[in-house]
Amino acid sequence: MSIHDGPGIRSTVFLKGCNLRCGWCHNPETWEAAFQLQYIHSKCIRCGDCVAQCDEHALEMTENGVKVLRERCNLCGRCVEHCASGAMVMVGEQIEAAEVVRRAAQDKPFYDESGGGVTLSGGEPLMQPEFSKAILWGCQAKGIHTALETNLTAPRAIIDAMLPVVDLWMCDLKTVDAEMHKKYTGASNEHILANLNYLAEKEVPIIVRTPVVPEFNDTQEAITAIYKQIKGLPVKYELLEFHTLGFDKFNHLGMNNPCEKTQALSKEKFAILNDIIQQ
Amino acid sequence: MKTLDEKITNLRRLKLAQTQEKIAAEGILDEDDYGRIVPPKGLWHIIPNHPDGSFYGFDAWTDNFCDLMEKHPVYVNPDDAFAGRWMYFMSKMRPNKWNPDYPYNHLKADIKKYDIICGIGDDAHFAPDFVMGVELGWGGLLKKIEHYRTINTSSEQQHFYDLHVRAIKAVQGWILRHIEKAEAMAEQETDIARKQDLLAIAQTNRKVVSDAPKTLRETCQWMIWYHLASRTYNRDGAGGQLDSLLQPFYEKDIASGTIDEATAVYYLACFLINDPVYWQIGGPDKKGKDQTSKISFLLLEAADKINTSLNITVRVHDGLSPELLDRSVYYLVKNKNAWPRFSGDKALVEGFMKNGFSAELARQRIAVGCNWMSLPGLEYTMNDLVKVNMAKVFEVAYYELSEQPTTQRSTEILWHLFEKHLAKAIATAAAGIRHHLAYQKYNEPELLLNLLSHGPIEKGLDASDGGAQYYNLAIDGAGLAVVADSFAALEQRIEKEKLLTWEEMTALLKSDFKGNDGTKMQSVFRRSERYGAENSLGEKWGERVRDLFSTLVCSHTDSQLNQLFIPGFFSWANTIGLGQAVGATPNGRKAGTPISHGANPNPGFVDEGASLSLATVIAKMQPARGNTAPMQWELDPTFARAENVNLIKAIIKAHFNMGGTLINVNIMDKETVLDAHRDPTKYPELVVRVTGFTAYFAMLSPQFRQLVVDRILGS
Repeated sequence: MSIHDGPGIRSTVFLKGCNLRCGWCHNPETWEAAFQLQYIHSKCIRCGDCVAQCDEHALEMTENGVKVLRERCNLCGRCVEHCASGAMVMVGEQIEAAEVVRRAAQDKPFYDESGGGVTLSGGEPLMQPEFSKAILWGCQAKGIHTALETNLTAPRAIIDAMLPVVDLWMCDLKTVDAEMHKKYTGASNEHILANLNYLAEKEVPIIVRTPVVPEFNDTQEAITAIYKQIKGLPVKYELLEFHTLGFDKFNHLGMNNPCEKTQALSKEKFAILNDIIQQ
Repeated sequence: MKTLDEKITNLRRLKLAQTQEKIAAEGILDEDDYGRIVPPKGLWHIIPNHPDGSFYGFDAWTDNFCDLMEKHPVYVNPDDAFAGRWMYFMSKMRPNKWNPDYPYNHLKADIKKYDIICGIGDDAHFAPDFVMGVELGWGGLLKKIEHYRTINTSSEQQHFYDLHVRAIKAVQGWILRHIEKAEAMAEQETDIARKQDLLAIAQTNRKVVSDAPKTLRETCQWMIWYHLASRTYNRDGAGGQLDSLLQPFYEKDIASGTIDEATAVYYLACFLINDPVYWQIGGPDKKGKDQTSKISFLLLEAADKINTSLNITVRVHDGLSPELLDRSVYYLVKNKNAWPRFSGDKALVEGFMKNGFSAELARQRIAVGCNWMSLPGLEYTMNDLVKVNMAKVFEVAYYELSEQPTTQRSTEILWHLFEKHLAKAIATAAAGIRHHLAYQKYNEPELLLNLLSHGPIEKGLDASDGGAQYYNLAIDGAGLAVVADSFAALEQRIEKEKLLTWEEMTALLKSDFKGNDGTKMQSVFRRSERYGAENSLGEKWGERVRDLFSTLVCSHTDSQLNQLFIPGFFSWANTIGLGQAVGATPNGRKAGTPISHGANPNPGFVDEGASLSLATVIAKMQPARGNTAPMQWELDPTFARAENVNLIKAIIKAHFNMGGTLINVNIMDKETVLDAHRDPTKYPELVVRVTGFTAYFAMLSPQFRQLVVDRILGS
């Protein structure tokens, strides 16, 4: 159940694989399209079964639990199968679009009562355009409202192809400064802005959101600049508060956290920035 | 002169002090708060009439009740619009609750074998008709008795009437002593405003000693007297449709200018703080028209002002005032104090109609008890009194299987054994109910509830003895999720994955998951396909258990005897006690730990989206005959915020549209509940909805607090 990815009660489907590398991302497990092994230290009962099952010797039992030697791991999944406690988890699932729709449709009574629906998120869902389209089409066919969270880096042809199946577009605009954008996400924002303007011309429902990240865009100048950029567009604009809730995931996945030292944004500062976009 | 709000604040403060005093004097209480206060030491003792030291039968109950009424302390507080508090659990003061002259030895072996809570000798748990009470008043009830005395002339019936007259007169005497007390206090009072308040209390009570109440204040006071007397007699706390009951009196008082809205709210606050009775508001009348009125909102406003351990239920139906539902959820979220709760009209009405009743009657079967519905004044139910421990039945079946040759062990064979033993257990429970009905009048007649029932006075028969119109008898199943998850774990781990053998499973259960692989295997079993997760093995087995249980309970209906048996899934506070009787189970549950509650899945049943999965599975698992399988919802406080009221409403409505019957909600963050568990005295006002009832967390035993903690941590 999600209440933050569009209106009402929603099911959010996270697609793995993203072409950006925003350091503040709280879904690092969706950066890579491939499966990833996650080790949740707090669930481990130290039985050692996973270590015994690993033919690649990619797991070692230490005083602090299991150490995953990721360069040796071939993601065979035997450790996950044999994990009694659920500490070893394979992140990712190969699944047909129809099955995603079937699972999501189970909560239709809640969507209907709340004005909710299904949201595709990620990662970047438009890196798998056919799959994304099939899911959203399937949802619409069942009378389920659809939303798409995208970074808008996709080619225009893909955007066009998605137009009929997306009831609500949700796009991030992280900064209007092209250089900053490239530095912190790995890609320029020129194409993103062009796609945003294109969608606005199409007059489709759009929510633009800016994750407010300390030391990146948490200044009145930065937010004002973004706000000015989109003020004339027929879109709804929201700020999202940077938080540290995803930090554990970096550890579980053995990934480096680029924002490891970044503190959560203060409520007061966020309120001041929020005032800018309310004007 | 104090404002009305200041008086309410004082009452609230006093209530808190009284609760603290109760904890200090009596220790823990794993039950409803009841509004009861501590009696003076040694003032009253029961009058036994049996060598076992207890008292039984009509005469003894009347003697005890009348004696207690004569001696019961009076309670008058000028801040309170109403006089009276109750102090004695008369029924709990007996050393023995069933008359040994009517033994049920023929049932005892199976009651023990299947750990059945048989309900023999239990009382109340059906609803009085307060409409009749406020129409007649005590004097009118006496006249009614006199009328039927001339029709039912046997000596037994004449005696029956004599005893009811004595009971009424005892209550009137109690009221009169309060009038004297209020007047004496007024006499001594130098503060003019307080003097006036005391005289108003005396005046209100003078009006209701005999006559039917005519104003909102008098009506509330009359209802207080009835339920204080009935609580004292045998803990009866059933309520009624409170808004409809009070609406005509409120409207008349407002129209005549006798009171204003603020005064009405003050009266209602005083009324609600007196005793957390199970009242329903909103919902359809018998024709289907919504009963919401101005006073429904004022009741919520008054409840908000006192914000104690309230038990108000909002009946959700298609025609319910959207504003009332909005307001109800608003207060639930604002106070995070477990009230109100919500019942689902659609499934309750459709389910009850399957028993052959009309929609009109089904709509009148309202939320007036902990988990239960009742037709006020029309039925005798034994609601929430009879529990079959299905986890124990499973255990009996499992160990019978373990004695069979290895080749004859499978979940299907186990299922057949479970069927056989569940049938026997339910037959035992039904036989227990019949035994109770045959002899309860010689044990504990329903002297007070008879007065507000349609039938006992008319026929000169106790409600338990043919006096009531309907005998809609409840049998609840307990431990559904434990049984479903156990079957699922066996099927998945032994039969499908061949992870272990039946012998190895038995060894693990007998050792309570000790030994080399014990902890690991316990984790494996806990992570089997669990009841509550969509399309899981647990769900498949849950549905089979539900269907079997419902069919078996209904099979005991006997229309010639006017006995209808209705299944439900509700384990009340018994999850701890019932769990103690059951060893380790294949779902990874340790021996002696609590069993699952009602139709709720075991905590931690899904990794994500627990609220929606919970609402979906419990809606599916209803026995659908008009009794409930409540959804016990531990709502995350980060979600339960004012801006999400519409989303919470959506979940409530969707659950009821899918078949849900009752939603009990707690909103508590994990840190608070853990801290309160460590030191309950730090949270004297913390209220939790334990199951159907609310309670002060500080009053609960450590085991019960642990149960609440586990549920919240596992949500």
